[in-house]
Amino acid sequence: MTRTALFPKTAPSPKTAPQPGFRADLVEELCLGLDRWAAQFNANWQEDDRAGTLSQARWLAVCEAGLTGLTVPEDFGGLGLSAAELAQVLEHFGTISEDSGLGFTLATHLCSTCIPVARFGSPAMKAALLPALAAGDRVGAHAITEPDSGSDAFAMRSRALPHATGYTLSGEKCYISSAPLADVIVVYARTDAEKGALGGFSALAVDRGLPGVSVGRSRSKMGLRSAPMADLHFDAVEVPGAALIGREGQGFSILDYVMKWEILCVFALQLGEMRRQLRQCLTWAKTRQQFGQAIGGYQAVSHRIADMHMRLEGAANWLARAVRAMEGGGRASLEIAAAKLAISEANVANSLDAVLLHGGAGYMSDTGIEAGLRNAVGGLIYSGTSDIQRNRIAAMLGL
Amino acid sequence: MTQIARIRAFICAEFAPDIAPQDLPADMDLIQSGVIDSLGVLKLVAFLEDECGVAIAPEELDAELYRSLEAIAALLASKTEVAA
Repeated sequence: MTRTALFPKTAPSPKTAPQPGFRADLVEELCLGLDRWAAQFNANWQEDDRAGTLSQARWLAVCEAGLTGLTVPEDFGGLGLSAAELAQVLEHFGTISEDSGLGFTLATHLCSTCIPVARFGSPAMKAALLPALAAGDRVGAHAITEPDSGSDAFAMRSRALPHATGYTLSGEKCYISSAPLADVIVVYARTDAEKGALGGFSALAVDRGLPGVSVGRSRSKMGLRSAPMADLHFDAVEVPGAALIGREGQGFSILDYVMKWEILCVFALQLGEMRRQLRQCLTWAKTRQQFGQAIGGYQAVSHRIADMHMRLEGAANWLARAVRAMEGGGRASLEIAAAKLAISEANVANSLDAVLLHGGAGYMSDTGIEAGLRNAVGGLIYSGTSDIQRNRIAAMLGL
Repeated sequence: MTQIARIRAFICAEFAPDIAPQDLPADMDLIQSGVIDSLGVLKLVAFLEDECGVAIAPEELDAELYRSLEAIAALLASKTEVAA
């Protein structure tokens, strides 16, 4: 066996693969197709990262490659991928996209809006929204976090007061990914003051153009800088009743469902990014010469790479378990929490190792290595912090 | 032990250790009384799926379906009927 044969495969681990009904041909075709778009996805991405913007050309490439319709049912112009199919395609996207912000914006679009509308929306809402969302003509976002409610999401104060024709929506939302780009924002708000998290909240698909919706200035962030973020203000916005997703009071169950898909999407992307990062580190270890030999010959380097590989494959196994649990029709609460925790923490650890392995070059922005670390840190916070995931795991274990 | 007796024992052990299973009224509002909160519903659903062999759809993560032992029994009965 040559040493080259020990390189990790670009393709996802076979452990993530096939369940009954898995469309392997479609997934392979999609992945091969994405390879042809790599140059457009990555064009000048570091300029976007520095400026804190996402260029229209790169987002259009995502739309034209068909990625915005991955989770939209076929009847509405999408591909209707299953959890397993989606995980493989997004993991592959992560291996070819050099910018985590682009994938994050895509995942936000898919999970915030496409997923809940397709699952819980009325036939009229699906017909009105899904084709444009699938094509990427309209961009989706969702608004959950508020200044006084982060991990305690259902402490939110935003109110959607029901009346004869719809809802009057008032409140503040903060740290909203894609808010500067979004056309449709799924807003979670209290619709029944007498009820708590269970039954007291609803999800509304709010058109950004409605009077009273205002978007704050773009937030400056540590990482994921090309995934624009802003705060939102809703000042007595009159939202039509037809904008209600599912039933009134169903906000908790919709959010629980959405968060599972969000974790699946975002962390499948991260897994792909970690595979690309490990390949970069291996190449560096084999070619960088110090003290008369390639640095990969030193155990300080080779053991670090072995640890990166172990973290990566451990994370991949957790994602595979989460996908299997989701495809099995169960709640998958423990597996999803474990996958999120394992992948996000592995990504931070591997990204720090990648910087250290590259030394001074890893610390320089132009190599793209340091961006991986900045981007990875966010994964410990969004979609439920590591502490919240540990709470969930402990609860599912009976504590 | 019947299925409902197992669920009753689980609810008391997990969420209301001060209540003996035989003292938990079948019509007690578990949510209004604070016995089960949102995370509790997720734990209960995981228990129902694991121990009772039913699959709970996303749309069925609805407080009304878990509001009391009676409601939970009705949910399980409806699933058993569908399976039959």
